[in-house]
Amino acid sequence: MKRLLIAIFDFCSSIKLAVLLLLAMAFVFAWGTIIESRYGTPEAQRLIFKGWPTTLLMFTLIVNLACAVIDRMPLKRHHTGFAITHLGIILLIIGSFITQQRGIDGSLPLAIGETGDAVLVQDTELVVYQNVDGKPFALIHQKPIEFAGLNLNRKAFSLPLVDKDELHVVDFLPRAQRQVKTQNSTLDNALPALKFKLFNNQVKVEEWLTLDGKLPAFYDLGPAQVSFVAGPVPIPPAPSNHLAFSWDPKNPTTLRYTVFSMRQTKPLKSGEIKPGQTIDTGWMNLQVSLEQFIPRSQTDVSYLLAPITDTLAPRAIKVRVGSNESWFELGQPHEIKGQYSTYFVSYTLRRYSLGFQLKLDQFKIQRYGGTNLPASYESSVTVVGGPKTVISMNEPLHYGGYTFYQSSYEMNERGEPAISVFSVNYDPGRPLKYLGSLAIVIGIITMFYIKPVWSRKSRTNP
Amino acid sequence: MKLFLASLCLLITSQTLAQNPHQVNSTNFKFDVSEIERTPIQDGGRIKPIDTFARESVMLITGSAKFQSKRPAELVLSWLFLPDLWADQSFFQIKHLELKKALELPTERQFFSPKELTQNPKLGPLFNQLNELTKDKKKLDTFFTAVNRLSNQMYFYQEIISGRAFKLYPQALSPDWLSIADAKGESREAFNKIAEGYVSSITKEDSKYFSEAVQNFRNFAKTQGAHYPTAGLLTLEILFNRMHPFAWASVLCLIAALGFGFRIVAPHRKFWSQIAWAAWIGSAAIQVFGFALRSVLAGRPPVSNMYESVIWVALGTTVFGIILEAKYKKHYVGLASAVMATLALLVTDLAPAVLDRSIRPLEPVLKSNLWLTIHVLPITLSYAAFTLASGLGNIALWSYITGQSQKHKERLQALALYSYKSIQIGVLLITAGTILGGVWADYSWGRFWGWDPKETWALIADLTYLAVLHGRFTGWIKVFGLHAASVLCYASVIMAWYGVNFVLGQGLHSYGFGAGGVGYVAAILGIQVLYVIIAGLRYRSESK
Repeated sequence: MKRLLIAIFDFCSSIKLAVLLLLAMAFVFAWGTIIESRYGTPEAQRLIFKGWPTTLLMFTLIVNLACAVIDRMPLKRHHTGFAITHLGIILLIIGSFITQQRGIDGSLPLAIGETGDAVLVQDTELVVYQNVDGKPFALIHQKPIEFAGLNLNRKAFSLPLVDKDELHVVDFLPRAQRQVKTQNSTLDNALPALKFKLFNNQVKVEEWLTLDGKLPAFYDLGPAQVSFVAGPVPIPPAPSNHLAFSWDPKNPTTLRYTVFSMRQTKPLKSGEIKPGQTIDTGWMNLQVSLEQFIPRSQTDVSYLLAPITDTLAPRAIKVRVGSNESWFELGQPHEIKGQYSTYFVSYTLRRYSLGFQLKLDQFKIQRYGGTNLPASYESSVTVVGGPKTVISMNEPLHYGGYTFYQSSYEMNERGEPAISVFSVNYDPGRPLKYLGSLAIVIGIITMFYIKPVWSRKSRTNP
Repeated sequence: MKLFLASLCLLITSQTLAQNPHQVNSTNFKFDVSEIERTPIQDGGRIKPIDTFARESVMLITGSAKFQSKRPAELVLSWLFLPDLWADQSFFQIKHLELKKALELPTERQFFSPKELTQNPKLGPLFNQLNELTKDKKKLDTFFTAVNRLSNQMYFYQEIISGRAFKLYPQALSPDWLSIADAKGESREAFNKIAEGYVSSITKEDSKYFSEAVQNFRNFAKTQGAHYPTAGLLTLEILFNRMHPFAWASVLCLIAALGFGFRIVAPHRKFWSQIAWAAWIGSAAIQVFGFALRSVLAGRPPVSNMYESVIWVALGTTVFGIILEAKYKKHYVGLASAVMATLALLVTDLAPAVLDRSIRPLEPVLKSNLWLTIHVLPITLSYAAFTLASGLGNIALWSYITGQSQKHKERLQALALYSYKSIQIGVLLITAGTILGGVWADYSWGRFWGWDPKETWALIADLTYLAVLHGRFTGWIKVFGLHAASVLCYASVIMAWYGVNFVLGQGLHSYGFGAGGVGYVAAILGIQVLYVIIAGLRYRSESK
């Protein structure tokens, strides 16, 4: 027994294990970067870098390093560099592990003038509400959910709902690309679909709207909305830039439009519209054209894996309740009908509350002279009930245990900077990581360049 | 939108070029453009002499440093003033075969005229597709990279002939300089004088009219804004452009390599190593000078793109080589270092399209100079140490291939020691650099380590060489093993240095991304692997 333990310890402390581990790490990490370039960063992180392969390697490495140091006890002077370096690596790995378990690395986008306290992290969660007579939803489920890989069919997620309804997640796409096919239907009771284009110098949007619920009947650009209604056009509750296409079941082949404006409650203009026709809306030089109109339509929505080049493609899951199946893009909640009730399902990024609020007062971009290249950008922020300060590139704000970094910005449709994005970070592993890093560098220098001096001295004066 | 169509072109064509429209390109008269070269222009976020601007434009549009053996500034001026004479001349370089096919252009030609391109009906739809792709932030494949290049070439040419690219007037109230297309009144008059001088100089075959007009213009422009650069800095940049310090350094390095090589072959000729040392020190001095000059011009240490990192690695390889050679005096380190530095410097000269040598402004996140320097310099310097080790390994493996490993046992052991020392330097530097990169990332992005490909590959290279250093203690790696490893492990450096930016093309370090040369690099790696295998086989048969 004792011999076996010694043999195990010898193996764990052996330099042969170290070499094998170093090579294994090199190969696994290289593999991870290849996965990243083929399937995208989140996939590589979940499968390799934050998944079990890296955890296993790091654990084995800690055992190996610790045993190697213990094996040389009691340490002599010439072990100094060796011991410092290897303990440094152990500290670094433990620090990183604490960061991964306890730390928060998220983002906080704020529009100018906006106040917020919710940090979005890269983890996702599934939230399910029961829809009670279209009234306020009753929360059924809210838990983190993570998918990795491209094929989920083997270990699908399931969740009991009301009565015998069950929710199954049957598919997952790390980069989803929606394919919409709208065509003529032969069914007599099929409902209409239309495709419009909303455009000016800066914006160009093309969308389908349908009345059969397969696609939304409403499009919101922010400063302007387009809707598709059956029957008479309702007056918007508040004055807004709104264009409504209307369709009368009694006269199914004609389509009418009504334009509302911010400036008045009464409609600006209205009339019949045919495909190819363009309407000047008068809002911000926006024009709307009717691209297609299908009085009896059939819409098929399917999702495909987007190519790796499509960096903005969202994650999406396919959910089945009873006989109904529907895709949910990240952050695009909607309803799904079960046999016993209707549910509202949301697949979103998780949010953490900071516990205090941050307000973006102002956001400025400086450019390199004569170009559009940003040279630097900075945000003036106020912590509600706390200090007022400026966050810029490389100059973060430390407050309440969190660090806020200037990360990026987004433009509005007029090409002006409108939203400042901060990355928000809480890292309890930081002191250990810094201590470990320092130890590694000092240890290597000791090993390579100070130890030879010692051994030379001890050789000359024994 | 041709700026001088009416006034100039007609004038010149009617006066001198009526018989031969190509005379502008073939006249014996040497147009002296040194005054305009020295004139500052705001371009790409920098104030630079027109000389630099012209070199970059000519490189972009024609794909080579010189076109029709004209000075770049002369060519660009000719485009500006006489666009009609150039409309039918072929000087837009298109290399991509599929693009030529898509545009229905003759595939055997490399150059095309502005008219051919602007009147090509296929081009508009392609540019629209390109716009859609870039708007959706999609990554471009090689075809659309070629479309993108052509779009840049045509855009730039249009900017030149319309005068919008010539931002020659500083302004009192704005950091943006005013272009000659936007200039009005007095400012415009000042430039028109240059145009008149240009015509006079060409028709009278005497550059003085033009030079005087340019001088007067500069004196005028100086009064328009506060930040007109000093003549000294501009002259320095022109000197840097013209001198080509790194080309000279590569020649001297080659001489050094030959010197050390001959000395090794003929051990009693001390003379060869003396020549080698002289050339080598000279090369190092020129490299330091060139590097320092570039730092002064850019206002930062030049380590922000591939071109700059290659010249830095060449310098590092030279310096490490000199230190180790001075210590061991066996000429092998000298040979390895000089060969590798020559190769690195040659690459920067041979692949100008892949390794963009223009000085560009930095991305906002890189602007904290101290951190940029602190984390990039050690890492690239570690590449230099590994490059030296790889050079030593290649030299040593030659002995195995020629079946002389038994005869040169001592020499091979000595070479292994030098390699080992180089790898040690490299491991220390890459570890320190990677950790400092983590500290910087923590400081400016809020995370110490994020498995970004660039940092991951630096770690992989580090781990690979660490495996070699530890492998020495297990007895798995002996003399041959170390030589083979120092050549093979260099692949991880190539991947971290070049592959991440040019092959993987993902991640945060994307400001250094580029394209091209993948085939060559893969071929070199393949040859290296083959070289090691052959050496290994020969070694086995010899040991038996």
